[in-house]
Amino acid sequence: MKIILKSIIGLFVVFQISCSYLEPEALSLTTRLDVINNFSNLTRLRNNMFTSMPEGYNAVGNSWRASASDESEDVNETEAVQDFNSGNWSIYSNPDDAWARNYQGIRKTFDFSEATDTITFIEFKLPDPVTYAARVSNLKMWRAEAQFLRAFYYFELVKRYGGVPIVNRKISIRTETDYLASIKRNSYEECVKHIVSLCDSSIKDLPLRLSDIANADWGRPTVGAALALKARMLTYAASDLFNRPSNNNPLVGYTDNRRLERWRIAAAANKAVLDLMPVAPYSFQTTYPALFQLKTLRSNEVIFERRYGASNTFETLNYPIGYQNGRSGTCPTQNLVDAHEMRTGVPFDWRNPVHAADPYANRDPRLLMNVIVNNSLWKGTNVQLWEGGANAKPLFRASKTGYYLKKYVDETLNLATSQTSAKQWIYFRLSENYLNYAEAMNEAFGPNVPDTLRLTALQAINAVRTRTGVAMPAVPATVTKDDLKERIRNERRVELAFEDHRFWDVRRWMIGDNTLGATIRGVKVTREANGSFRYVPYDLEKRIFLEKMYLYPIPQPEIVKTNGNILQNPGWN
Amino acid sequence: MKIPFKQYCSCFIFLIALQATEMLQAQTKPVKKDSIVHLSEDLQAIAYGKVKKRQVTSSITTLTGDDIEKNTVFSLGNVLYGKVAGLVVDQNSGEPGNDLPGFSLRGVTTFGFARAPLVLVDGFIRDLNSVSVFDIENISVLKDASATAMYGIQAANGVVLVTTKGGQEGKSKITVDFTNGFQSPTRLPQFNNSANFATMYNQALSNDNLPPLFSPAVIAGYTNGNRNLFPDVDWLNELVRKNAPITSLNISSSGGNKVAHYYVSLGYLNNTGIYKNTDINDGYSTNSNLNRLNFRSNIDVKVLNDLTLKLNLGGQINDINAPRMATSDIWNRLYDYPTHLFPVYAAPGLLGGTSAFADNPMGYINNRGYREIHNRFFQSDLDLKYDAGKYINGLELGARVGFDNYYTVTDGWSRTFAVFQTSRDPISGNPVVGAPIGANTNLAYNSPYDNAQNRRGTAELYLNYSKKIGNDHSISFLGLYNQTRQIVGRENPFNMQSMNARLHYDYKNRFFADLTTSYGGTEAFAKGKRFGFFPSLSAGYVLIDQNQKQSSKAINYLKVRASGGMVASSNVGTRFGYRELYVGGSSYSFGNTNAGASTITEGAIANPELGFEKSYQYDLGLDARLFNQLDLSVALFQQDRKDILTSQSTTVPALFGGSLPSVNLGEVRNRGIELSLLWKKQFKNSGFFARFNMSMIKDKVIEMAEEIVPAGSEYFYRKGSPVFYTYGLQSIGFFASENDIANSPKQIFGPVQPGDIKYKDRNSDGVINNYDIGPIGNGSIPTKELGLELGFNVGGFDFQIMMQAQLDRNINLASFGNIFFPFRSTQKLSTFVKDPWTPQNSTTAAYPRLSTLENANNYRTSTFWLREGDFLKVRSMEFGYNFSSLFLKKTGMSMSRVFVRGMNLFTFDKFKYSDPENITGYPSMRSLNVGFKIQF
Repeated sequence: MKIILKSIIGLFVVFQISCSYLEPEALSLTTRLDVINNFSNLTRLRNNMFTSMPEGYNAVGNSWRASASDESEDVNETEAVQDFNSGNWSIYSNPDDAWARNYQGIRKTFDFSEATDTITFIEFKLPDPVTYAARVSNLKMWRAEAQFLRAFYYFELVKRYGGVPIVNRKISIRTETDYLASIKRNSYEECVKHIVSLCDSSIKDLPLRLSDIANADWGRPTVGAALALKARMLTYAASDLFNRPSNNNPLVGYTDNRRLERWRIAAAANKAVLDLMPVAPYSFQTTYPALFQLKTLRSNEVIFERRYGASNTFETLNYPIGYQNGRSGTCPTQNLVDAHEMRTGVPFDWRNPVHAADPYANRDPRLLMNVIVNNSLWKGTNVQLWEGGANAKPLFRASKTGYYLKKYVDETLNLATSQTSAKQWIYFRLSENYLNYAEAMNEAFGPNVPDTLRLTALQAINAVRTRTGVAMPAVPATVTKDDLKERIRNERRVELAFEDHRFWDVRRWMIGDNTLGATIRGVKVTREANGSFRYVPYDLEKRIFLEKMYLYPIPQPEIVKTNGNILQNPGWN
Repeated sequence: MKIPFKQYCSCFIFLIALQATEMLQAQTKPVKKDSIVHLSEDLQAIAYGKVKKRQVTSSITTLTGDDIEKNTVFSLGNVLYGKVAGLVVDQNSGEPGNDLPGFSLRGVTTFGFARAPLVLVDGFIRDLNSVSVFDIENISVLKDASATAMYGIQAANGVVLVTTKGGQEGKSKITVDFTNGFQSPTRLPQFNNSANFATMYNQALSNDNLPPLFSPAVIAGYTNGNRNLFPDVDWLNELVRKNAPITSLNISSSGGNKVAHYYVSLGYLNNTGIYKNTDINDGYSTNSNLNRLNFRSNIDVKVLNDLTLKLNLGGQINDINAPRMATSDIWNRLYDYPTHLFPVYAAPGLLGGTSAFADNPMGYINNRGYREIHNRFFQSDLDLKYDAGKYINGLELGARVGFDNYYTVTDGWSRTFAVFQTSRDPISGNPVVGAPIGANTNLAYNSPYDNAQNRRGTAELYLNYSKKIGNDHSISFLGLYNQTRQIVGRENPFNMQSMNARLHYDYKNRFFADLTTSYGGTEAFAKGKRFGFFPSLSAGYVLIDQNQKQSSKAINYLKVRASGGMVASSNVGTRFGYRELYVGGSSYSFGNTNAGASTITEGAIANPELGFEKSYQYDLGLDARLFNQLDLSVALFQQDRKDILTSQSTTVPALFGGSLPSVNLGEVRNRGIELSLLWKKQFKNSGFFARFNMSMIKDKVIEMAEEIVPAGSEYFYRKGSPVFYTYGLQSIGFFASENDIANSPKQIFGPVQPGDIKYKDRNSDGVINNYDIGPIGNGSIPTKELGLELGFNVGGFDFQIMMQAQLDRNINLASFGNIFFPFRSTQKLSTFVKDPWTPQNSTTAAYPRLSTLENANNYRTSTFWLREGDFLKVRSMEFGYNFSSLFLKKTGMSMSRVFVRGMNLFTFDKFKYSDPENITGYPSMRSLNVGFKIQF
């Protein structure tokens, strides 16, 4: 027996000695230290902060929010975005749920900030002062980018959900599970303040002039981008949705009555962007359609954009049926087409026989720049949108409305040979700030009062209307405050069509019933024997919009996971 | 290949004549002992050793080499269909060199990463396919924790022990086995011809409110027109042979004296694929083809009186030839390519095709080049055993090492081909061949595109001690240390280490008990989580024994046994999950060229708690012999698999923002019963046997992190259902009219019209959406499996048949849309589609309205697409003749046997369309063979 015991002990000794056998070897894996100590990894970690930024093209499935607003209708009934139009979205399913994505983005910005908290590059100071200086100033800028992007991600949340929980660090899943489950929503007011303060502090270290950015860094945020984000946030914050009279739920808006002050602050914030025009410099693009075909170029009108490598997915989805590989996709609505004024500045009216006989003649030039209409030129041929035409019903997948999308679609591609082109999606551009400003000033002071900002609401809207290449007549100085309000809203609808504004604007203006819940219309085009066309508008789709839909519901699993500490938005359950 | 049936027949007539003369001599043949109960004194392979059958206290089933040899298969796994109660074997593709079946032991025990049992060949972890069927001594399937405990961290899914043959003391023997035969697909999907296709396509277009595509004249053309203008190509018929030859030859020799024993063998095997016209190229074939050479040399030598050395060497060379294009792509084209668009050849030597259909299957298989896959196995193991009895009685010390190498390389030669479109000359009406589409290029070499080398080295030290205490008690002890390193390509090496022990106790040869433990670890987990301790306990008691008084006429032997224990699975699908790591992220474009910038992002958050899946297994068994001829073995078991990896996303709020690690939270319970019966009788000149086994197993998800669903839709959860249960919508017929649609809950999957599938609003919320999905039927894994083997012998003739049945399984046609959903994109109309809905037959229709479009409403998993997948297959059938000793004496042989053997000959099922186990892809094979075995 002794021998056995000894042998067993012997075996155990062997076992103990060889215990290091299970230490993993030659791991080709990247640890946190490998990231912090390696400059090229650090640049990749900086880039990583951007990857949760919202998509522009095909932002919702193979469609976009434009087709969940009165701008357009997607040709495909089964696109997820149609759930918005049928009212078939809920606390369990939301085609545009952005909760997780933006908190992922926020964590990425903290990951970068916290990784670089202790980096000084002191090791370069003596041996290589040039590199040292460059790296120190680079790092400052990158950390400012982190703040800007965090503000951006929060804005994406706040415009959808109202007040959301503000996270102030990279949360540890191991030590802070209780904290995670106990987190509550911050008030709307706190969120706005937080976003504004992030923008303000990022401004200090972001580049000011476009020429301060290296060629390889186009598409990164600048001072202008931070100011524009702040301006948009404040414009939204002053809007109807977040200033409902007698609101007592701080999660979904303000509960005080200092709204007028908020309009003033919003006006000032937008003016700060406009004031950058000579510095950055920013100016209107001379040809409006070129803004949306910038590809790799830079426009002085664009304040912040997302760049995309070459592709043709968007074109394949949106070329009219009948053009090679086209799948129709976005069908602009008659509602949007009608919003384009006559060239003279008067509204278009179907009851006017002159208008109705030739509805696309003598219109705001942006109509034919935003929308493909019947018999207009596309890729060298006239589009046949009449019943039985080469690009119209009853062809499968032909436009439901009688229109196809033009804005942002690259007409020059040969899809048969899979040609592609680089893309840009505009997050901020000058027009928006003029229109934000006009809206805020008009609310605060009426059409013609410049206050201390030295620019009136009327001047601001007219700057956009009369921009080169559009040259619509100015809104006359006699306009009333209420009329100007409508003119500004209409101008915004036309100027910023398909740029992901309308979906949010109608919410913050609280005009959902007449827009999101409106009847979507199309036009029936008939070709007469003599080759002329007859246009008859018709009702296409009655959409469903309920009061609760002004804000998105918080995804129900998130409420369950936090034991109800996160409260649901009103009306959703 | 033509089968010379006439010759075979005349051969058998000769044999029968021979037998008739034999009968007069009235020979008796020795009866081979065979019993499934632990009755005999035969040795049974267990983990790291062999014991007498009656001493076994755990659930083990053993197959002998004789059983295994009687199969013409190329992957050893294919002999196991229905042979072992509780071992579910699923047949997959029949492609030469790629026909491994899937395994699971005692049903579904986990939804985790690894489900297949651990396979050991001669005690080392090895591929089941690396051994030839002729070299097998036996295969033991270890089923419960007590049997597998020695394999601790790898034992949770059960263990299969393969033992290769060794030499015996006695005269040297030489054995030659030869079989030759042919294979053909069991069943292939069938499609409609061009005329039917065109007619039905028009119907589908009309359903879609689109104008017809085929005029009556064109349809008439497809019926009896010029085949160049109105093609009607059955691609499967054009490119799949009715039969393909298979040949196998194995020569082995064994023998030994008092000092040394040996077994050596050399085998050759050829299996040709079923593609047609593959020899049109000069100098190479594009057919699938497997050539295998294998050898084995097992030697044991008594080096000294108390020192034994055992050396096993085995190797295999597989050279596989195949068309250059991937097998799945080839079969997709064979199933999808239209019959009516172009002929195989537009003109002699010119392949037909269009720009949209440029992959003419004839060219795709034969004119795209070929692949050569070479893989080599080499296995070696050495066992040195020292009998230390002279120092301490009963003590034995030993060391074993094993080293295996596996290498595979795939070379490719590729080219492209042109196709030609045929059109109709408007004036003459004759077919005109157009300009080439694509181009014929010369064969070009692709550098090896698959090139991998795996190695595995194992070292073990062990100690055996046995002692008798008094007259009634005896104990034996085994202690063993094991370390294994596996290197797979460029991955970080896989290391494992364990310390195992087994204590066996024996009281009066009636009561037995085993305590088995394993303490083992792997580097996949964090320090402190790497090692686990896995104990098990089992006991058996022989209640009735034929040598004892209690033995009655009815019950000759009865043993009960019970075991319980815990084993683990370390293969959880993730390694180093305890480390905080950064990984490449999606790129983001910057700069004046919109260039994608690379990113690095936090990987899944480290989970230092990550550990093994643990399996708590309990087993109750009974072995009996009744009426001296019927063997019975029954087992009841329960397995609780805990700590299965699940996602944390259902508990951690998304505002955490990081990528969540897997956590050990899941749990599955599985219970079942196994039954084996053997009835065997041998008379003077004849005999018969019947062997039956059956298992009924049911599993249930106890815990599985699932996203919450709205109240009223709780049926959506998988908790409480079997792991692979099918979830889908409940179909309640077809929409009869627009009115019916308007008055029914809205189905949100896509536009619906009369003739589309109508679903049940399970949660009564007025909308049919994903929350109406619930459990609708079994998955493809059966809950009941049966095996029946019958055989008899009369004189020199013998016959046996082996059948396997799987019950309670379903086939989800929605998983095979390319066959069952016609017209979608480019698809054909399979003959499965019968009686589609039209307004006229709306009450009797058997298939939804035809459509040429993607129909998101109909084409999704629902009860409509679920079909019973139960089947019974005749896996093997053999008729043989053993030459008499009279005949043998004259030729100097000690044994000679000829036989006809069929594999997978018949399938009985309700599905009937294609093979119920293998719906698409390279089909399963049946084969018919003749062969002989002679021994000198």
